[in-house]
Amino acid sequence: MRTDGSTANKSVTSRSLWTRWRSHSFGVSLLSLIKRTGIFCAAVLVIFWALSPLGSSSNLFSGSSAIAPAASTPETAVTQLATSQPPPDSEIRGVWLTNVASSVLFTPWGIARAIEQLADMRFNTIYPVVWNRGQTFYHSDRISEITQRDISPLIGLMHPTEDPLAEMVRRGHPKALRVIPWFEYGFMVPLQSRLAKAHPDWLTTKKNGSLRLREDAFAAEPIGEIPEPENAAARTKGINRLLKSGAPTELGWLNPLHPGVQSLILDLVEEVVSQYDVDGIQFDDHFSLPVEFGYDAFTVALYENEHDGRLPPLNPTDEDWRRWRAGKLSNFVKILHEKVEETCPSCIFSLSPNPASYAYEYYLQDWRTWVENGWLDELVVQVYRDDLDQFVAELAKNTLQSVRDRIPVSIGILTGTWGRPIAFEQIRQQVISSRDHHFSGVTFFYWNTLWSYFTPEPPQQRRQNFRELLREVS
Amino acid sequence: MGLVGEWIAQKWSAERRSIERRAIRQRTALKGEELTLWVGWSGLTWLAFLSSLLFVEVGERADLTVGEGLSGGGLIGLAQYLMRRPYMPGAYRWLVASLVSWGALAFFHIGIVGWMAPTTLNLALRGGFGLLQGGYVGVGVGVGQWLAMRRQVSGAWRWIPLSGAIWAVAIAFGWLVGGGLRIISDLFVGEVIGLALAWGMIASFSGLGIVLLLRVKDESEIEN
Repeated sequence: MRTDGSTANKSVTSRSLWTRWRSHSFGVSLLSLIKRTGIFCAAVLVIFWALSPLGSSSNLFSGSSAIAPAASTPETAVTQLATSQPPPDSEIRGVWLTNVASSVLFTPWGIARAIEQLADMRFNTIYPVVWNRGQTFYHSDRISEITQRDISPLIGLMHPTEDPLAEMVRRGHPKALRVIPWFEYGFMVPLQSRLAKAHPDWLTTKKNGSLRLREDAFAAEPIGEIPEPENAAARTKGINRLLKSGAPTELGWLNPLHPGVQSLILDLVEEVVSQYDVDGIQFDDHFSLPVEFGYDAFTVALYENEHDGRLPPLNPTDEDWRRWRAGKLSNFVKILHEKVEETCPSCIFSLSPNPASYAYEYYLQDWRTWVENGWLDELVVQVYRDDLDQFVAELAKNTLQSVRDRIPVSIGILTGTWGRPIAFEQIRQQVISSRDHHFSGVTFFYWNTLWSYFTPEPPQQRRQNFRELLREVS
Repeated sequence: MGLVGEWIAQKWSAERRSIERRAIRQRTALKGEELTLWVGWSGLTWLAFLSSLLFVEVGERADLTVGEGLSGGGLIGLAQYLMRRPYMPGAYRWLVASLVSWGALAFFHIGIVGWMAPTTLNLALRGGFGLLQGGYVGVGVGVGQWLAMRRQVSGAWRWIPLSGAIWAVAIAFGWLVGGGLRIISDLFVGEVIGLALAWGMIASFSGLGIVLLLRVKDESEIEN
């Protein structure tokens, strides 16, 4: 009996526990768990809002925490503020801010944090991306007419009240930072984008009719000025990887000679310089025409018209054919420069190309001519080399030495990509070398690899190193 | 001054009596909810570590400040306080203990190992340092937390060695994995991933420890 009773008791207990678990306890526990998690998340949000640059100008963690802005004195800001050109005795210290492989535009505190830290490190110029993958990162009526989207959807979602460009201007100018919007993709466009689909006639083609830019277009070609193919591959591998990081693989090229394309670019630039209090605009190596392109119907007809009905040479690297296309691109640069000057007289037209020979031979960017004609106000030459001797050799080239007497020329230095981290020592040597060659300054590619978890050194050490390096000349 | 002191002493004594009275009753509420407590504790502690990365930048020993120790410890303490509250009277003491312990670790440069990576990339040294530093930080934090719960939980002293052991193993593991990832990728983010794994271990094992400590063992304990 005793055993039976015990068994029955156990059975009842087990059943009641099970029933309780299923019918009552589990539900209540789950709700309670959700409630407590909610309370915790709310507390984190409140603390974060109170401490971050979004909610307050002061906090506990000056200089070293993940969200902490470091102190910058109002006097410094006032002294450095006001002009779109940096003071002549000061070097350009710039950085590119992109959306590719970067969180800066996708977190609510990203821009505020970046601006605070950059100002603290004595940077004076930022180049935030505004044009990428056939989409704008500011509110654009012009692109909306074509794509029915006035801003990149994800950016619009993350910045419902103020677009990133407006926020950068609002936060950057009081911190003495020049804000120069960067049209990162230039004429490059994903073939699957709304823009490419809406205007397939705007795309240029290769001689076999292909619209596609080779995926390894940036990796396979030798560098014109330094005959070192293996280094070229290494140099561009990181950029290529970066381009592929979440980026579309099917890329095409808008025809820079097409009036429709030219009109679009002119309108986008006009929108930016007229609607935002920016200090200029910048295009880079994508503001070009890869040498293998130019066999689309429009360009061929134009060529025939100007060459007594003769077709363009089948060899894309034919010197006359190359010169003709480069000349057409140069004509558009002249028009673009006039548009910027006319719409915003205080704005500069900046270009960030590859070294001259390479830019011309492979991308038909004759930027030497552009400088000579006064169409560019600033040049940031990308010299992404690992080897210091090669870096120095590039800086010593006559072309660079001659243009630096005409306009401010700064050196673009690669600080790393997610797939290709770069130790600070290499960056330090390159900055010092650029100063030794009397260039106007340095610009780093890119924000996320200046000091973050995606660098070889801890972010605090990296920040300290940059602080000391940039303090040396200031 | 004397009156104020007397008033504080009375209040303190009343609080202690109240806590002791409520302790068993609240712990009885744990019956059948052990799994919930363990899951909640583990999940929320890990979430607290991830949230703390908004305020604390993982670095090497010299890089971390008292402010970061306080905010990291405070968030962990807050998460664990929320989970303990229904089962332990005066659970706010746990939050205070976490804050003070982590703040002190940073203040005295002992190292807030939960957000710290060693300088060396030698894996053998990392494992050794992890066991040592994890161990004594675990004991240090454990002492603070023991003070917070010794009135409410019988045999609460067991938390101290348990905390030391959990932290020693978890930090050694996290630093080994973090070092390996950093060597492979040449990116500091490897250390953050290593610490996230370490916190996962700490969260789940400490959750298990808390459930075992808080569980009412038999009916007689309730009657008493």
